[in-house]
Amino acid sequence: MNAAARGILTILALGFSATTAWTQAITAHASDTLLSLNQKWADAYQSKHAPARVEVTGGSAPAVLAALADRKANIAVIPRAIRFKETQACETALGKRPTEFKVGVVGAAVFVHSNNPVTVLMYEELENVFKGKFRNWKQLGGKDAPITVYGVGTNTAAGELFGEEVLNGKGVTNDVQIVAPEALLKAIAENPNAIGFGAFIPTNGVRALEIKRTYSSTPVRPSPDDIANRIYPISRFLFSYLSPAADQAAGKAYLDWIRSDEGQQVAVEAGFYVLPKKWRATP
Amino acid sequence: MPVKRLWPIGLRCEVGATAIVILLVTSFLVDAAERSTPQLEFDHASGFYESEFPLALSKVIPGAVVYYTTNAALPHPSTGIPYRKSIPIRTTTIVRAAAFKGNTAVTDVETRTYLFPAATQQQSGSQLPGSWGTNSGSAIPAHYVMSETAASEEITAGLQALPIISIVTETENLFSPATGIYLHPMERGNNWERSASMEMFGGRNPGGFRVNCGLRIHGGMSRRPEESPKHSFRLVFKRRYGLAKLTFPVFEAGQRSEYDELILRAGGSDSWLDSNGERRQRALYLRDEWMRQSMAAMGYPSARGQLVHLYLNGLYWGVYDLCERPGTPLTNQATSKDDVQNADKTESGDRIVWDKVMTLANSGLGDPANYQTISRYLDLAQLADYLILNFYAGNSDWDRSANWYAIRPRTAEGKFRFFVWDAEQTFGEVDANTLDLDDDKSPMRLFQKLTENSAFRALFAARAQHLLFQNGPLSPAAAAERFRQLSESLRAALPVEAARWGNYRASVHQYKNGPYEPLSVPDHWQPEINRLLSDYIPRRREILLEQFRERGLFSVGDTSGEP
Repeated sequence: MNAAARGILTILALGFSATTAWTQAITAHASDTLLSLNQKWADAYQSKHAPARVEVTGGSAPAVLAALADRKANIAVIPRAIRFKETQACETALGKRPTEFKVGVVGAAVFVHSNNPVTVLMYEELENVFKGKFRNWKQLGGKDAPITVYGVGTNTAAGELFGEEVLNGKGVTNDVQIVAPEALLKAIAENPNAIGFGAFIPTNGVRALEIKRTYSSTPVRPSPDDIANRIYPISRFLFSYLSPAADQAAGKAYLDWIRSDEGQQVAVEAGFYVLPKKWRATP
Repeated sequence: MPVKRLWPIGLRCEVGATAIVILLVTSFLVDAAERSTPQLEFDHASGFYESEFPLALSKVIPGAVVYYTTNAALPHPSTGIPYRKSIPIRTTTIVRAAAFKGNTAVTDVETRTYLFPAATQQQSGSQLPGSWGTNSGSAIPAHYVMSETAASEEITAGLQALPIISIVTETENLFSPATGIYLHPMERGNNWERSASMEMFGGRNPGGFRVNCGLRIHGGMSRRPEESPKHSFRLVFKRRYGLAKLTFPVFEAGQRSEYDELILRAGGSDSWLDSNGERRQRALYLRDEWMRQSMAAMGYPSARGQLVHLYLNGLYWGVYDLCERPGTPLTNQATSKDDVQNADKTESGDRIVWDKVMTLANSGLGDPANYQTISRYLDLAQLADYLILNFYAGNSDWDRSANWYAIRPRTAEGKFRFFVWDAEQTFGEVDANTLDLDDDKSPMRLFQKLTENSAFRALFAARAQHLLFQNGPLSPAAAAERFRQLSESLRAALPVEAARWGNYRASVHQYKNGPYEPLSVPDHWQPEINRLLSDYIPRRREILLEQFRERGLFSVGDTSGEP
């Protein structure tokens, strides 16, 4: 084979290889509460970046990270940072730790009736309310009246966040009426003794409480800016982890798009918060 | 104008025909040689008395008239009582006196505090406001009286068990509806600082001082009258009040120290006033002090404290912890100011390096280069020790906004060190695990990020080994001994606090949650001390080490050297 022929073959091979890499699907495993968001990201990305393909699968956060370690996923998307043992498992299986990218912010608010005199609660008090230990507003510095408790399900990002961040993953008492997100605010607006947690949506007739993490913390009222900037406590990042075994260029291109204004707009439309630019610069 | 200093003028045991001093008191006065004005002299020193006596004042200016008050007001010819022969002291009395020519003062105002334990037990505050501020429109009831929860002898002995701080200020400064700081405890800043006299005397250690100062309400949550009717105070020493600094060995006999300010800590959520009933039952009044002493036991600078009894205008106000405030004086930087972060507030210097540290941390410290860089700004061994102490105590009340200090000298090599502050919510459940606490711009975030790095994990394990074993400062024996000593210093004094505040939540103002019951030394405080000494401290090390192992911060082999 002469040099010219070898060059043609090389170009063909490189071209084939590049096309294969580009058209090979990115496998994104997302935790269940982020599945819908990830599907929206995938759809939007594929529609504008043909022939890119993104396949999205759901699961629990530990299962999603296990899929990363098992090379079944190129990207894991979970609503918390990877834990020490999960990092170790990935390092053992893949030789390197996965690269972390922040991709969004989720927040949850606690609502009361707008006439309720209680304005601030801390985590410990919320835990006591939603686990059934406190049953009267007087125990929270309010009037002598029974507390009616509402919440959204842990199959929503806000419900999952509240359960893990405030209730330490231990779940709510059976007295908590789990309602659909759209029913939550209506129920609270109609009941002066109600309290409930869900996604932050400013609504007439209900008031979002100022929240503080501990006794001495500065209380913060939820707002889109303070949730996005992680100043409001019941908020957290959404993280993506890119497998070291995956095609780095394709995976990073996808994650860079998610972190772009366009990708973040998709997140906002899905009820999440814009990842501030200061956290988009570095993985 | 020379800086006025405080000097001892000797120990005086005052025994007269009608007055029997029940404590030895020492009177320290501002050095007369450095005063710009003459001073009055009192023939009885501030202290405890049990019988009435005539108080004599010396007139040092010919032709001047001495006026005095006994209602905490500053003396003036228009309102004071002209001094004749003597002042009869029959019960707890605050005497403030000055000499005048016409309406012009020709001496400084001098203040003395004469305390009668029997009067303390009968105090009423009857002329003072019935409420101390409001919460959501509801008045918070004031409380001045002492409950009859202890025998008279126990109260008298309890009052002698700790030094006395007597703060005297015009009544309006505390209780004016418009400007009184006790009725407006949420207000802050220079506009809410009031001039006052501060005396320290009594207790087991002879010595004391008297100084004029500025008085402010201090604190965070404890400012809220519904959360705590017993507020903390900040005492500031400024030339406008007399002395630019307090110069006196407040905390260690024989060591002279200078202070710009001191804090009188009321106890907050480690007191019988907390709004949480379970925490009230577990109140010790010494958790924060133990934590600060522990940092000192580790060999680091730490704010020193001294448990005291506080009298406010002659009314017994409770057990307080008089302590330093973290800042430049603690780091002995004589030539340069420090960068001082009081949680998210920059109290001195700037936050440029602090922000750089947090940005580096958030970018990930698994990378050896980042770890190397951050080690230029953080004293990593000290940070590890500080974190281990907080994890040991299960500190659950700190985040970016509260309850820690980070201080670095403003030099090229200056590294941040961390200081315990407001560590009252500690020593809860013995199996408390606070390693997962995380908040941006806080020591916990540094911990979460540093533990990504194997070098830090190794350092952390080595520090845990050092602190927790072989009589290290957090070994069971050493930890228990500090608790034992502190509790011994407080036990006899606490029945007085119980009489003052032990019934407040049960009988005066129920707020938030119960149980609402009278709180006492034998039924609550002593059992909690026993729990710490017999359960928490003996078991905590192994529980903590298991938490560290779970996080890859300690291995089985690290316990070498311990029997």
